[in-house]
Amino acid sequence: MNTTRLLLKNKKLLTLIIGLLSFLFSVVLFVLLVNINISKIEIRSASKFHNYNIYKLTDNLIGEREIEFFKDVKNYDILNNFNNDVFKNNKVVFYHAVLQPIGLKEYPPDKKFSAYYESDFNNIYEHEGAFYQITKSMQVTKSVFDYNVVELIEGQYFDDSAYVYEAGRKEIPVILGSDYRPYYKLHDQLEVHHYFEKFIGRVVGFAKENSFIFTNNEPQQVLNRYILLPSMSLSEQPSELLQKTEVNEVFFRALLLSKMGGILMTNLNALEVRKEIGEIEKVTNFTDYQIIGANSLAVDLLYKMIETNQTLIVTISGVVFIFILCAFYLFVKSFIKRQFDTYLVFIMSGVTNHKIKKTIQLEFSILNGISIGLALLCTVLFMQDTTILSILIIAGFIVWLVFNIVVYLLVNNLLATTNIIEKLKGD
Amino acid sequence: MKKYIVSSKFLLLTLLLFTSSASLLYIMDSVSYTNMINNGYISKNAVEFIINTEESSLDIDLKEPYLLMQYNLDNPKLKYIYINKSVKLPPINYNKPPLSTDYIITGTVFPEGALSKNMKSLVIGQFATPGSYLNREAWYISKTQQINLANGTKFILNVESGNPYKLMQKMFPNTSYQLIENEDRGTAILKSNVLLNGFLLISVLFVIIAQAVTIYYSIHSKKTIVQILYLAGGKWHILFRKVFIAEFIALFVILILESLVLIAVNHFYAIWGSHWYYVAVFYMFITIIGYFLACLLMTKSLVKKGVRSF
Repeated sequence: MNTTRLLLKNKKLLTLIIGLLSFLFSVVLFVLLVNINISKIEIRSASKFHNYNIYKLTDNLIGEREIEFFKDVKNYDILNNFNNDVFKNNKVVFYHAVLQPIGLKEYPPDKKFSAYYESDFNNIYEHEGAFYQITKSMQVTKSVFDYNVVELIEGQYFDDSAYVYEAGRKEIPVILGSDYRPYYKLHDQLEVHHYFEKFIGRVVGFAKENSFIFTNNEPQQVLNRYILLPSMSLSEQPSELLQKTEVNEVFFRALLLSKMGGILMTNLNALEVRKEIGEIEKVTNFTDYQIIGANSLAVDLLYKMIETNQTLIVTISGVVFIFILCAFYLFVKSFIKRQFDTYLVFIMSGVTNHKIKKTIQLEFSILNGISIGLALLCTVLFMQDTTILSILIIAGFIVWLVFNIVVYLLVNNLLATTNIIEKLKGD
Repeated sequence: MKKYIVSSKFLLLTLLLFTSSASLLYIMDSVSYTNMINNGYISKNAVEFIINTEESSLDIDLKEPYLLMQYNLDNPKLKYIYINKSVKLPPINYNKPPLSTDYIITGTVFPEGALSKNMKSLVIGQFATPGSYLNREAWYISKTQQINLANGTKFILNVESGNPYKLMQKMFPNTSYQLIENEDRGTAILKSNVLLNGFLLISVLFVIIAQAVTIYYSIHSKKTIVQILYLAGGKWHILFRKVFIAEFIALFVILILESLVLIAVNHFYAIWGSHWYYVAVFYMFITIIGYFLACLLMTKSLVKKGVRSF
């Protein structure tokens, strides 16, 4: 033990530097593994869209036809039944992510949250003596969270009841984009105008920076500046809700019509999906709709982009990692060789070859172990991702083991090939 | 006895580490360039703004490299492009050689029907960017430096280096504008892509530490010879010259050769800007200066101690 202590004391700086190199090598390995996992998740998410046939549901209720249709309260129920049956159909996934600005009272001073900020249009209006800003917002169904990678910095996703509108409901949960964090905190209450109705928007979560969702028009709708609302279905028939509540019919009309802009994702072909929805048409008696073979360009672009990115990550990370692995090996080898002269002095002092071998191995084993452990801790703390913790621990252990074997072989080889007598004589 | 001492191992290792750091810096900028392409050829530090003026046209008179995009808010997919000749365009498959007059490049999924008949005749190629928002766009590349504001009042300015806001003010000195805070799209916002940059940064740090170890080894191995030469009666500057000068000359030769190779790489495999090149050369230069100072300090300190430790 005294020999080990003396050896370590003799080269504190070098030990520290080799420890640092070992630490950085381990961090590179762990980050590589975490990143491959992340890129896998990203491509899996894009594949979900890519593997489906995508159709867009749309209505023919435009202008006069819309006014005529909604003159009869029963038609609200017909449209509602149609929406509900499409949503419940197990052969299609109803995916609804629609841009729908809302009015926001006591809005943040930063104009980027306003709906038409990028066009530099005025977005402020007055209602009952208060000022509201037309604010970027999206209504989303639960499937949007199922099919996209939207992680939350804090809070929680909408629970199932959030997606249902009940009579007298005055509060809607909202998830805010990351840019809202300086202005609001969890459980804050926002006063919003949603389809001309006043609601309290209770903040239940904040999306992580640069979270994005797929929409029919935009492959990546970035959520940083958006307020997410649940896309609500109705707990009762709209005709009953209209009687029970004082809510303006415009609210129900807008809610029902907005669903008609949804996407149908399915394995069925165009003919089959039309037949499937045709069955719903027969049952509900709603005929003013169309199913359009939705533009798959957005999905293709998203998929190709993520695929390109994955290739980029695997290629670059692979090449760089192999280089770093070789460099690290060379430095370990060179470190042992350089220190060999010091070990020879210990041989002169009567320390055996076996003792020296054990000392060098122990030294590397401890140094590498500490570095790998620290690197693992730093990676987990920094990434805040424990999903592949077990893989990281196994990888760390394998690296530790491999380098122990390498050091063992190197030291054996050095002791076997060096003529110690000649070395000590100075030849 | 050798007149000068040169460690070929040290020089070879230094050459390898210089090449590695330059490669890593190039890869980092290549990733940014890929992100720029996928984001519709909008760089991370691009400036987005809307011009408010009564004028019908504006003139550009600039020597700095830039790429200015102009578009109408109602039709953001058709962009008018004004460039300084030296800037790099995105990858394009040309059907005909580029014209000396205005021409149009379209994305592979841009509906050509959206172009007028006159415009269609100007199309000479398609963007070769499969995973990019450019696929949905068409670029009208203008050869004049006069901006017709009837084509749109929204602009995006890409610059290769320096402060884009300063260049924008220089471009439109007496014009009122509204800055728009832009958001990235494309591969740049993918978590794995952001992490890739972190991975490359750690790798650069690894190379820097490896460089420090190499320098430490090199200086350490020369301690004994400095001590012997000093004891033999050498003055510090003479023994400093004898032990280190050949190595410094060799290092500077490496610096020059490496810089020339990097210039060639920057020319044949050009990406947006040459930021990586300047950083790589600066890093090599600083490393050599650092090595020089470390050697000087070691010699002086040994002489000052009177080589007591020997």
